[in-house]
Amino acid sequence: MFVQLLINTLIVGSGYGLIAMAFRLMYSVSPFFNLTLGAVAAIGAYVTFYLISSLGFNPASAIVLALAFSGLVAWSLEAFVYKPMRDNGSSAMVLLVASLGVYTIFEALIHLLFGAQYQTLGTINLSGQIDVWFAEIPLVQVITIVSNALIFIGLSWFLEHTFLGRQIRAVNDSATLSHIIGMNNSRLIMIVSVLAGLILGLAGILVGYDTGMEPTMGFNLLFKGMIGAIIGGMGSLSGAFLGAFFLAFAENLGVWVFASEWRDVVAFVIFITFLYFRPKGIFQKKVKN
Amino acid sequence: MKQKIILSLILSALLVGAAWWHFRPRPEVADNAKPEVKIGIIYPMSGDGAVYGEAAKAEAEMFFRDFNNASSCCSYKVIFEDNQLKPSRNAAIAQKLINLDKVDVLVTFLSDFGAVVSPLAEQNKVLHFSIATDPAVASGKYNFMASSNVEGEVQKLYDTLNQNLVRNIDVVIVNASGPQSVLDHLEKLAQKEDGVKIGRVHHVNENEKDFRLLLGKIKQNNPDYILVLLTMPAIDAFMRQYAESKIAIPVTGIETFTYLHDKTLAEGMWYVDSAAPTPEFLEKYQAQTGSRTTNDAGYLDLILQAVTTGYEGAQTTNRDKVADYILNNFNNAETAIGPVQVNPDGIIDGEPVLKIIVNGQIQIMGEE
Repeated sequence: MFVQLLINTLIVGSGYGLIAMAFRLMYSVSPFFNLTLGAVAAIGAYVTFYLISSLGFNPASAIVLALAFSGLVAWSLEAFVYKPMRDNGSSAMVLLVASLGVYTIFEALIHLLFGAQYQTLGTINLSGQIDVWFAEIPLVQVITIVSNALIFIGLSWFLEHTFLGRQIRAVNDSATLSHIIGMNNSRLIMIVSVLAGLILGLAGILVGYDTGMEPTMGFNLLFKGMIGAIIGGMGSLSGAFLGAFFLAFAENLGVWVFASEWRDVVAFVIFITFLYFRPKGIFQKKVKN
Repeated sequence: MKQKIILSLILSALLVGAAWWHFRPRPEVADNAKPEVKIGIIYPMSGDGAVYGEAAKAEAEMFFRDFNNASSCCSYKVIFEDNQLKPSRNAAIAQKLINLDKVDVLVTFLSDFGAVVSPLAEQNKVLHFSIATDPAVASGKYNFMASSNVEGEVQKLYDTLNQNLVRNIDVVIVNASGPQSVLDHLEKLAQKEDGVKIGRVHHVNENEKDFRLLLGKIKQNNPDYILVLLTMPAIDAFMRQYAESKIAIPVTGIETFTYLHDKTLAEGMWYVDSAAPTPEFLEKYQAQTGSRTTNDAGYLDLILQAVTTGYEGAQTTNRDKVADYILNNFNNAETAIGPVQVNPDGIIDGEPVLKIIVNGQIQIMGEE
C-alpha cells in the first residue's frame, strides 16, 4: 500500500510539478499571480480534444498543434493584455484582477464551445499500460512523470547555462537593474510566456488524458501548482519542482490515513501553515550580502 | 471622449429598449379563457446532465401536445430553466420562476437540487415535485417526490447481493443527500439482517477525479463487492481508474451506471435502478420524439400526470385543494412507470428493477 502511495505521489506530483514550474518561470519575470496560466493549460487539453475528435487528427500531430496554440495564446495574452497594462504602470494587484477577468472569459468560451460536461482524452488513445517491476502504470502517467523530470532538467540547465537563462535570472533578481543595464525585459517576458505556455499546454493535455477535463480544470490545476511552488519556495525552480511532490505526498497521505474527501483540506492546511511559518517555502533563496 | 459618450448613449438606449420589450404590457387574457397553470421545470439543459434536460423537454412537449385542448379545467404552460447541474443555481432559478414568472408548479431533478427548492416552494405555497431519493425533499404540504423508492431499491440490492453469496462490501459514496439516504437505509438493513455487511465506507467529494489511492485501499480491504454511489462526473473517472487498476472485485450500484457517460466502462455489470418506464411509454416516446428516452423522462411524465390529475380533478387552481386531491386520489394510478403508490408524505414511487450494461447499453436484467 505504501508503494501505491509513492506511485500516486509521483504521478500527481509530476502533474502539479509541470504547472508549478511554469508558474514559477512566469513569476520570475512577471511577478504577479497570473490566473490565465490555468486557462492556457485548459486550452491545451481542449484543443487536443477538438483536433482529435472533431477534425480526425492523429494524437501526435494534434498534441504538437495544441502545444503550439497554447504557446501562441500565452504570447498573445502577454503582448495584448499584460504588456500594455504594465507599460501603463498597472500594479500587481491590477494585473491579478485583469488575469481573473481574462481567465473567466476563457472558461466561459470553453464552456460555450465544448459544454460543461466532463470529457476525457483517455478513450481516444494513449490508454496502454507499462509494466514496471512493482506495478502496471498507464502510459500517460509514465509520460507525465518522464516529461516532468525532463522539463525540470532542461529548464534548470537552460536557466544556468544559457545567455537567455541568465537574462531571465537577472530580471528575476531585479527587473529595474536589468532594464538600466540595457536588457529588453519585455522581449524576455514574451519568450518566457511562450515557454510557460508550452509547459502548461502539455500539463493540460496530460491531465486530459489521465483524469479527464472540464472547463474549470485550469483553475484547479493552477491552484495546486501555485501551492506547490509556494511550499517549495518561489525563489527557485527546484523549490517549485520539489514543493509539488511534497504537496502531492501530503494530499495522498491525507487520503490514505483519512479519506478522499480530505484531500483539499490537507492541501490548504499545509498551504496556510507554510504561509504563516515559512512564507518563502522549504527552499528559501539565500540572499548574498 | 465624444465617441465614448455616444457609445455609452447607444448602449444605454439599447438596454432601456431591451428592458421595455421584456416588461412590455401583454394583452389581457379573454374572460372566457381557461385559467393558466404555469409549470416551471428546472433541469440541466447544458453540461454533464444535458441529456436528461433534452429528454425532459421532449417529454413535456409530448405530454402537453394534445392535453391542453382536451383539458376541462386549465391551460398548461411549461417554462424550462437550465441549472447547469449546479445546486447553487437552483435557488436563484426557483426564485425567478416563483416571483417573476409566477409559476404554480415547480419540477426539479435530483435530491440535492430538490432540497434547495423544497423550502422555497413551501414558503411560497407553490406545488413542487422532485425526481429524487431523499425523503426530506418531500417534507411539507406542497412538496411531492417522484421517488426512486429508496427502501425498495436498497432491499433489491441487498437481496441480490445475498443471492450472489456476497458477505461484505465496501462503499464509495459522494457527499450528497441522495446517496447518503441510500447508505442510511443500507446500514439499517445490514444491522437488522444476517447477510451482507458493510466494510469500509469511502466518502469522496463531488469534484473528485483521482481514485487511484482509494482503489488501492479497497484492494487491500478485499471486499466481495464495491458498491459505488457516485454521480456525474465522478463516476466516469472512477470507472476508468477502476478499469486501469485491474482490481478483480466487482462493482455494483444503485442508479449509478445510469449516470455513467461512457457505459462501456461498466460492461457486463449489474445494478439496481428505479422503476423502469413501461414498454407502452417507451414506444410512444420513441414514435413521437424519434429517440430513446432516459429513465427520468418516465418520471417526468408521471409528475405531469399527477399535476394534471390534481388540477383536472379538483377543478380549481387553488393549490391547497390540488395538493389534497393528488394525495387522496393518485394512489394506484397507472403511469409511465407502471402503477404507483402515494404515501401521506407525498412520496410517489414505483417498483425498482435490476439492470445490466450490455454492449454499452442499459438493459433490464433478463430481457437482454
